[in-house]
Amino acid sequence: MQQNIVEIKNLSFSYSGNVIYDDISLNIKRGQITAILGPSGTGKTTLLRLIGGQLKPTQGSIIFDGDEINGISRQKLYEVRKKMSMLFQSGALFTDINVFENVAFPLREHTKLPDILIRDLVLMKLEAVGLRAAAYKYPQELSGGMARRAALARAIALDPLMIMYDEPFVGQDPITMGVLVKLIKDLNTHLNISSIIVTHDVAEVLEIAHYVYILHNAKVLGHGTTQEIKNSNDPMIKQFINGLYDGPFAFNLKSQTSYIKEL
Amino acid sequence: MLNFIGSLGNYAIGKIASLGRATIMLYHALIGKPNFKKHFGLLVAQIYFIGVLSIIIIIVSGLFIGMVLGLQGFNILKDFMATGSLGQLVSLAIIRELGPVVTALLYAGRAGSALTAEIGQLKASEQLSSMEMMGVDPLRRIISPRFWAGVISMPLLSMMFCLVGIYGGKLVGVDWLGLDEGVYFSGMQSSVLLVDDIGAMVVKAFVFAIACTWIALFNGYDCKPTSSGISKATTATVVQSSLAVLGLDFVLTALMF
Repeated sequence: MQQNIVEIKNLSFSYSGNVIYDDISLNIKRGQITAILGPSGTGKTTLLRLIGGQLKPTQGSIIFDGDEINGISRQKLYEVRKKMSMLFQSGALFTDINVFENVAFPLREHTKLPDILIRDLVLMKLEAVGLRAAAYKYPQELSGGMARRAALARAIALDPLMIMYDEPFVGQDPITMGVLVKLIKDLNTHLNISSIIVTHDVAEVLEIAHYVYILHNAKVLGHGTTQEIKNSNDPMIKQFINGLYDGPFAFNLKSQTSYIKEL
Repeated sequence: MLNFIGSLGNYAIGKIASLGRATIMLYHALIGKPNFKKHFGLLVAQIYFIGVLSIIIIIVSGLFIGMVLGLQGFNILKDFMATGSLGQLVSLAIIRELGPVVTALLYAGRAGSALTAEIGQLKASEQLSSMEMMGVDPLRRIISPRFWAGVISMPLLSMMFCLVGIYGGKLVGVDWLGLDEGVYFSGMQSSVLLVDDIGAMVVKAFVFAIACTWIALFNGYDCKPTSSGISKATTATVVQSSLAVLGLDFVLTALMF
């Protein structure tokens, strides 16, 4: 068994003329929580979609659990995806069925378990995220935080090797955020699920991450264990980690024309 | 001028590319062995939504179109002392043309637009995406049962339309205007042929079903994931389906009759 669950080598990706990634390499270690940080708009979600095979890289290779994702057949890709799971920013629960059926969905699709067993499994997953009481509610009846937890229950339904979290903390109140942080940590320690968290909520994620990558301008700006990143002397990393206004990161997007001219 | 030619070429390339994407979508949705146990329930649910729920609009339209044909036909035929041909006129007009065509147009408006809006919304809310990431192919789980449901439903709806339409003509011609019932139905019986007319009707309905359902599903699947994108896709479905039905009808009529 490889030590790395995901290995990204020399990955480049452009989308309608914009270079999103320019020759980056990342390794995600098995059984660890890896945080991928970066300012909004650096294409962090795109990275998750690349790992999930929803987007095809322009160049480079992505290996998940020994399988090359780039260039794999469609059928094999759907097989491989059963081993990974993604928590979408919106939750992306199926709106026509209730929470119970949402969590049961992957089980019903991929296993031949009898209904009685599926019921027990679903209730266990819902209990793990504290939503057993909301099993028969519909997604539109849930608050944002509850929807995300329900989506998390669905994401762990098939006991994946890895979960990718896309901005799990955005728009959550402090208590929900705390709950989610604890959930992600617990899932990692108890079920030994490798986790990738894409976020710009630095403080929360540094509490639980083992390893950190910082992306900026289509490149990896820096990476290291959480301690190394916290103690880094790089001015850009420092500014980003501490959320300082003043520093090498520009507040304005780079413009082709000068401000004076455009006015 | 050069710009115009350029944009014309761009438009053509865009259209051809989307035709390619539509074909790929249908191909991936339909290949592979189906899992009957799992997919049969989905198919039945879609036949209910696409077919059964369309029955009322089909029956009401069929009845009125038959009645209007009966009334117009009777008044014209009366001048030639040929009201005895009313059964032939109504049944042939409905079975050969109006049945499949009007059914397809109504289907595009009732079921096609609903399919596009539903799939567009699934896409916009990332539900299709999350299904993909779960290892469930949305083409096979969402698109395929809807396609088959459309293909199965439309010929049946078309037959119902014809049946009710002919009955509508009888209601006006026989029950209201006093034509002999035997004359009406024997006119129909002696002129409508099983293979040439009814068979052709089923073939037309089948082709329209494929065209309308495919257009509706692809527009939903390929739409921009925004609210205006969904509304544009829904409009496109109704417009493209209607034009496709009318165009295909001409071609099929020329080939078969």
